[in-house]
Amino acid sequence: MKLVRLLMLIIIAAMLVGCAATSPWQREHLSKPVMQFDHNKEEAIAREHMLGTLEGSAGGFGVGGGGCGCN
Amino acid sequence: MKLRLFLILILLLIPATAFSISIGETAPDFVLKDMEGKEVLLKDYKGKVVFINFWATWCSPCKKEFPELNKFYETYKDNDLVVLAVNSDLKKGSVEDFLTKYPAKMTVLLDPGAKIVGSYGPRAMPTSYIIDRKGVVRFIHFGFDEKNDPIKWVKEVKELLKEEK
Amino acid sequence: MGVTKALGLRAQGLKGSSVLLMIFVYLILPYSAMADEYVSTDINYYKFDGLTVIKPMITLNKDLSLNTSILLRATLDNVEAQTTTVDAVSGATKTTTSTSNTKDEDNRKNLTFGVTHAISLYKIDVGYDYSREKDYTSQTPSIQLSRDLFERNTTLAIGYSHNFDNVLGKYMSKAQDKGSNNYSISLTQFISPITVAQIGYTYSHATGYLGTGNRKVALSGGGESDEYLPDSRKREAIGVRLAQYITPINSAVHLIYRWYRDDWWIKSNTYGIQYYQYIGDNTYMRLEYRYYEQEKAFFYKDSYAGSEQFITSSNLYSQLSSHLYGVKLVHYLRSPNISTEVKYERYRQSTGLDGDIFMFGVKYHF
Repeated sequence: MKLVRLLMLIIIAAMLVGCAATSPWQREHLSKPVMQFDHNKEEAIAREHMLGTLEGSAGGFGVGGGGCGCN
Repeated sequence: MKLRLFLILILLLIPATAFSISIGETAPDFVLKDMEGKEVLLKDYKGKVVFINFWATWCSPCKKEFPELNKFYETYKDNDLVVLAVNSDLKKGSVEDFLTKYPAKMTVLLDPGAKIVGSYGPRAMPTSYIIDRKGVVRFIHFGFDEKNDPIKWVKEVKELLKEEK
Repeated sequence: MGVTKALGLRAQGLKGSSVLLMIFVYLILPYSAMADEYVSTDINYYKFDGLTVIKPMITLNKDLSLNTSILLRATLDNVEAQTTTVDAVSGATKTTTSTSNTKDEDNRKNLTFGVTHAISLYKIDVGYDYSREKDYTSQTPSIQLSRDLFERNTTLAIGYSHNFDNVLGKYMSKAQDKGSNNYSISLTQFISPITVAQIGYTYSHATGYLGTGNRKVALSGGGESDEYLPDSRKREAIGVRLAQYITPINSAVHLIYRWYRDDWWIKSNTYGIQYYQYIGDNTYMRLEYRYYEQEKAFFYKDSYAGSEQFITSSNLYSQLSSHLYGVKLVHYLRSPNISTEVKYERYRQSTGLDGDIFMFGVKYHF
């Protein structure tokens, strides 16, 4: 678990190194549906529910963010 | 231990430091092409009030703002007002499709390499810069507030149009 | 609790509630971008060994004002099972013992209501979820707070929900309660104009009656017993996702990994890969593969004498692995503003459980 915690901190730090990595006008590709995590929320909900009843695990992901530099 | 917490908080507090044109600065000059391929130079509009709007078809608030900009332009176009809608989509085809659905009354300029929008450095899309007759940025609107922005545009443009040429 | 432990902060006497409060306060600073407005209908069809589930779902997501939107979702699981041991896929109750060969049917109704309010750079989501079937009722209020940072390159979100569940399975003489506190925190970061990553941590603690009340366990010496599970379960998971756009060929790749463990000794790893390919401007295809493996719970055995404290016949708590693979096609019409999608997936589990999943969906974007 120590190793997992350390890896988590490293991943978070690495992600935040490029804090303002994209300018608002550079997010055309990021706004596309194929770049969204769980773009179809209904599909994601149905799948998590199904897998939760077939397997002994659950969880791991929170809300998806970003999308575009809009408003 | 405490160092870890400290590092996490420091990382979270690192401020954004991107470049951005501010009120009071001279608007960067540019040359861009319109939808017909004709070149448009910002400096040709010195002496007029220029409303530059940076937008993109993939940006939801931009799509909401576009019809309001059209209405605003229609109301004031006979005055010394120029409205330039600068688009930064990678493909011209996306802009053409959008304009088929929402025909533009104002001038639409294409900035596919995002060089010009980069020189202004808006921190949101869309962003509007209102430039006075001397070429100085006097008002900036980040994003689109559909309730208040159209009212503010009118007030601010009227104020600048009263100023001497 | 789990948050501070995961971050190694418990030794410093920093309580979980304090850390969450700090993050909460940081999140409360001045953003507004309302969600995509749409009404959609999705139908999922699951065909597993002896089990068929038809799951229609209707969703409405609509702005009420500049800063507020609502979500309404209704789901109905129609479950029909021919044989046994699998109470899976829907969660709606299934069968009885392995000797039973009766046809069993059930409906699981689910309603979700949510409100999202945005102010400047932060967003708050408040929700309520209600599920009901003949032997199980669940009510779940939830709240989530998120904030965009660094010119919206980063989204930090924390969430909490509580399950108020009530179970009355066919082998239970009276209804029993189950409760669960669920916490989540996630960070989503744009790494470049074509790369986005997400890391999330979830922790939950469930207490009360944690079974279904519908399972019996065949004993090695003959006869059968009721199922007995521990009355507490602490679970945590870390998920990491990366999406990379491949500009020259107009495609994208997603990599997914999840690490999980709980205090029933179940540990698991989930690995997934998704490949998206645009076909023209208005259609894309997704190919997907997911591999899952888990270790068994401390109390799981292939055979019970009947003297054990905890006893179960569910494969859910056994050592197992699974493969899930499939293809999805999404098409956007220009006018009217409608998207349609169709999906086929195949699920295979090392326990012998396997099945097909079909999905069809239509979404109208306002």
